[in-house]
Amino acid sequence: MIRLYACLALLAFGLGSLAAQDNPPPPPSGSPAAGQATAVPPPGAGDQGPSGEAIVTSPDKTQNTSTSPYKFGDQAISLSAGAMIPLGIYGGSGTATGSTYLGADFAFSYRYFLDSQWAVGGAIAGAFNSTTAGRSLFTAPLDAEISWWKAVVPFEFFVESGLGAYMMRLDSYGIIDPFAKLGAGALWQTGSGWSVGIRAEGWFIPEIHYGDYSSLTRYGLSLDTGLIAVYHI
Amino acid sequence: MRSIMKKATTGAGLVAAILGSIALAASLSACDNNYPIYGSIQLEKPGSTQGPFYKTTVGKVVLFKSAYYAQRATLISSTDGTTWGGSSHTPIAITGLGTSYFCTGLAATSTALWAVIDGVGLYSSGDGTNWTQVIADPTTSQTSSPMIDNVFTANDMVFVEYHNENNTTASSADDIYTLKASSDGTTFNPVTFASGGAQNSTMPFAGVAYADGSYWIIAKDGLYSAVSASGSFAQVVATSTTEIGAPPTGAAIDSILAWDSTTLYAGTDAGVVYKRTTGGNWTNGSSLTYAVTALGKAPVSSTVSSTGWVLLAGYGANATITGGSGYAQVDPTTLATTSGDSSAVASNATNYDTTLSGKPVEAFLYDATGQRLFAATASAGISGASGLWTTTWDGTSTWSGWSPIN
Repeated sequence: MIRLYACLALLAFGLGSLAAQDNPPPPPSGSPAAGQATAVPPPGAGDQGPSGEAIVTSPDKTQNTSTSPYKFGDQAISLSAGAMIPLGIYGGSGTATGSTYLGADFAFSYRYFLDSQWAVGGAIAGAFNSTTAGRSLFTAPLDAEISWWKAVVPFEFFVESGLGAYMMRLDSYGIIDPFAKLGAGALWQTGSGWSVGIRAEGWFIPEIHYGDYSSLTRYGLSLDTGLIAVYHI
Repeated sequence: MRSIMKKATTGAGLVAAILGSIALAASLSACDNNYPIYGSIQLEKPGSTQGPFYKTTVGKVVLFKSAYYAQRATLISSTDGTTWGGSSHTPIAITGLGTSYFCTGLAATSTALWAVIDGVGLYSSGDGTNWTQVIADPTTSQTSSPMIDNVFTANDMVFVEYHNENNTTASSADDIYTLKASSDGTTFNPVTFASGGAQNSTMPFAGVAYADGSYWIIAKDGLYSAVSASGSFAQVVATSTTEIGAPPTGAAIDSILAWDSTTLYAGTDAGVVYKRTTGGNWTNGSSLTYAVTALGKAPVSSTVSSTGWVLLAGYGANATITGGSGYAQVDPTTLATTSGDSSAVASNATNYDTTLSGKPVEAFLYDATGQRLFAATASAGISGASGLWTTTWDGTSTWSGWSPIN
């Protein structure tokens, strides 16, 4: 129990640190929002409206739309939620009929850009699926990721892959095993440090048993798809 | 500088969050190398979502002339054990009543099927289709006249239970239950008890069996036996704490099974299974987790029982022990039990965990000819549950696994 509390405290500290950024973070350096709307307003746009409110100006449509908004040292965090689509459980005898139903998932990820296109980071996710007999399956992968980004302002596209481990719970049973995923997404820059869009990831979830129980090894495939919001730190 | 510090703080926070997540996940997830999570899901079978037994309590299932009959509020039959009431799940129509009736008792002898219709009386049928009223309930209120509310059969004798509420209040404390028996299905004579409280009992009778040349009746205060149904039944008296008695270990008897012509088993409210063989005393097994409300027998491979059969002890909720249901397998020789075990007649642990586990068992029926086992359950109101489950035996070593009847 003490170990559990310590873990929760560590997790709370981490999330608290992220939430404690008191000032609104600047848009990503080099992004259209930072470079065009704020730093260099286009002619005639003005800095304030008639009543004095701030005006966020749209990116200059004449700019080079292939310019990446990222550079070395930029960071981004993202939250996503969506549907967890089971693609099947493989291995074992051919008499199996049970599976899992469409479920839901959420994820939190962090990325650190190595240059204008490549980023490394990690993600933690959780997915819930109901089984054929009405049991609840919970899968929580934690992985290190590498991703490749391409900007076509105001859009961003990325492809990512991750390797890590997952924990899975069903009734009172649990297991931890390796995990891998491959995914992609498309985002739209909102101009305020946020990008929102859609993403899809294929999860490879091997359930590996050892020794006398190696025959129990199975492989699960799932498609995680939904909405994503990226905040550029 | 401030920007660098801010990023550093953010990075530390992220690292801490990730490490915390890892540690939290590891803390919450024990590794069960011997349990197949995905493998168990593969073997799951869907619960009932429709059909004649969806969220229904089945009180009894009997075999009569190569057909199965199940007692719900109405009766329903099947010839193959999987399709009940035809494709439209049509209930059995009782002659003169149609399908508008409420059945409170069902039993079979070698020549007839017997059904108690609430407020109407006792009916019999020689073919399961055409029914004849054998005993009519009085037309007066049940508060003043005994009315039939259950039927038992043993050794081709028919026992009917009469219930007299015996007052005009809502109290059931002075209700009176009596038995009558018939060998020809026409003339019913009162069953008499020489001792104990079974004569004019204030609680229903729980079962009747025949073995070792005697009839055995479960009453509120224990077990009674007599060589002849028309004779006087004597209460079984325990001579030691390991025997069944009056009442056994302070708990009522809930179920009885004639294993064969000489051996009997009885289950109690306290979760104890008792056994009696020819001429001997009753001996007890270890206490099970829950009340044993149903007993059944089924063939198994020699690895489970040296006799080739297993005793099934069905759990049900009761006043003494509540909260559990499903069944345990019991070695018929040693009475050694494994609570909730699935290795006997389920195909695997997952099959048991996702089917009968959690369902109060009302009755078992094994058909040796059809090699099919049924479990009737009190599943009224249980989401996704079926009142009747079945599994089939391959004749040598393997059960197909419990499936709901949809």
